[in-house]
This record gives sequence, structure tokens and C-alpha cells, in this order.
Amino acid sequence: MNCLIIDDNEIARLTLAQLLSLDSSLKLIGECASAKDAFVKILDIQVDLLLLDIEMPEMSGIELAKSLGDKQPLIIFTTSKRDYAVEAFDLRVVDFVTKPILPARFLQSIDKAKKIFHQKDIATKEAQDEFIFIRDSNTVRRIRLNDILFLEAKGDYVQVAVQGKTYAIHSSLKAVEDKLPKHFFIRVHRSFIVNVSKIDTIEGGTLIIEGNFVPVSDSFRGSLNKRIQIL
Amino acid sequence: MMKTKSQMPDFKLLDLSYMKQISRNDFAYERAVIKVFIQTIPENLKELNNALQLKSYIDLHRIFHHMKSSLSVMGLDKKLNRFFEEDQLGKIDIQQLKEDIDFINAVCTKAVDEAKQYLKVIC
Repeated sequence: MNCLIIDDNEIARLTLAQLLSLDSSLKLIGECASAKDAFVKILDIQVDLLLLDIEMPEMSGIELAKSLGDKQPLIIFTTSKRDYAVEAFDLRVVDFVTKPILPARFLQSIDKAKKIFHQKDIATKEAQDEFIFIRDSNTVRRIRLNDILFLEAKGDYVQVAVQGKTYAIHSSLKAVEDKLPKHFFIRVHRSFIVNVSKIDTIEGGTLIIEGNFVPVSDSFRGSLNKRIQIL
Repeated sequence: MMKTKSQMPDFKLLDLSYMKQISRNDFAYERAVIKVFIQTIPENLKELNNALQLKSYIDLHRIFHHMKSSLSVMGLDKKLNRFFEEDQLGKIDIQQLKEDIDFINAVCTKAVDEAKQYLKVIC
């Protein structure tokens, strides 16, 4: 697991790095003295686990976790104050440990993180491997479910949007919806079904998926909100 | 090179048991921590005194919080934690706060001297 330490105190960073060396499966890929630096780094490199201090100048660890949204890696909060525990756990983090962190307590948190990481890894791999066949004109094509951005009803056809391309299936949206796995896709409009994992932002009544605007109708808004669990 | 227990100075303030538990005889880690401690604590104390003069509770809170992590690794938390109750800052009168910070200064300055002795042993 690729780990990033974020703490404004250098002794704390040195100590966390030393604790990470207890488990050879953990790879320290960087250290940041501020949450702002970390934010930029996380968007740039593959980070699996953050060891994140809470009280830091300018931007707190909690603010960083909130700002990462769906891009949030696994997080273990490390702090010298217990006061933040409730707020931290509301962010669905792996653990909350108070300094000075004892090795046994640290390894306990790491075990929790590793279990969640492996579950996510399996789910991602499964998602990447699932596929459907579609008939597009005279060609039968295999499309990985994970590549589909959204599906749109257009007259007697359903247009399947994947990255940079669209395919047309002669069918109704309802018939296609019945064949798609529910854990991947959700209906957000009479004419649209989206791949939940591809939603970038939701602005008012519109979803943005890789630069495409998809409308959300009032009748489907409730099920969408429930599904994506907005914090 | 392994260091023997007999070479350890007799500390009155520092308690390195936590650091030793983390280092597992990795002296590179210990040297790095001690060097940062020796360098940053006098800076923190200076900032603390400045913040006290300015009666800036926001800065005092920030510095107290920052110092806590360093002090706990060096085993000073048990001796000093009661002075680092950030939530109590606004409730203490300025004279009491000055006395507390004088005490923190004295303890930390002596602790830095002890850390310098230990650094000589592990270098």
C-alpha cells in the first residue's frame, strides 16, 4: 500500500515513518508538512493510505478529507487531541489514533486499513472484468461495464456513451436497464442511466460525467442521493 | 554500532522509553529526532514568549499544540501536559500563564541540554 504522511510536526513525521517500517507491505511514498501540499500531491500520485494529522495551520486534516471527496484514499487520523474523534469517524475513516502512538495500536489500525484496501481492490478488479455484449449496427461488441459512462434513450435506440465514443443499441432504455447490474448503474432520468462510479460532480439538477452533462429528474433524485451517500 | 545502557546519561527530565520502543535500536531515527528536537524547541519557546507578550491566544494555542507532538516522543508529556491544555488557555489569568510558560521554558531548556548529551552518545 502506498502511504503518505501529513503532519506539520517533523518529529511526528519521523516517528510515523518509523512506525510504517514495521510492516514491509507498506511503502512510504511521501511526507507533507501541510494539508495544502498534500492535496496537490494526492491528485498527482497514487496514494492508498493517508496518515493524517488533524490540527494543522491553514487547512486541517478534516478539511483535507472533506475536500478530497470521492478521490479520498483510506485515512488514519493521527492527533494529540481526542476532541475530533466524532467528527473524524463521521468521515468514514479507517481509524483515529492519538499520539504518542504505540506500535501495537498502530499495527491494529494498519490491519484494519489493509482489510478495507483488499476488499476495495477485489471490488475494483471485479468491476474492471465485468462486461456486456452489445449489437451496434452489424457488429457485436464487447464493452467493459467499467468503461460505460452513461446510457441515453434516443427514440427507438439507446445510445451507450463510453470514453470518446458512443454506440447505438436498438432497444428501449427499460429493457437495457433490466440487464445491467444494479451495483454499477442507476436511473437518474426518464432518458438516462449512469455509471455511479463515473459521476464527477452534481450541480443542482445536473450530473457531470467526464465533461458530459446528464440531467437528474426530481423523481429519481431521492434514490440517487441515497445511493451515493452524500456526507 | 550498538550502544550499551551504561553509556546512557542519567536523565532528570527526558524519558526516552517511547522513542526507544519506536526506534528498535535504529540510531539513525533517534539521531534525526534528537536533532530536530534540539533545533526546534528553542524556536518554539521563542515563539511562545512572543505570543505571550502579544497576549495572542490563537498563537499560544497553535504553538502549544505543535510542541505537544515533539514533547510526547521525548517523554516530557507527563511532566508538561497539564500546562498544555489548550482549551484552558482563555480561562487562565495572564500572570498565571506567564508563570506556566516560565516553567515550560525552564523544563524544555534543560531537556534540550539532556538531548544534546544523548546525541553525543549516539553519534
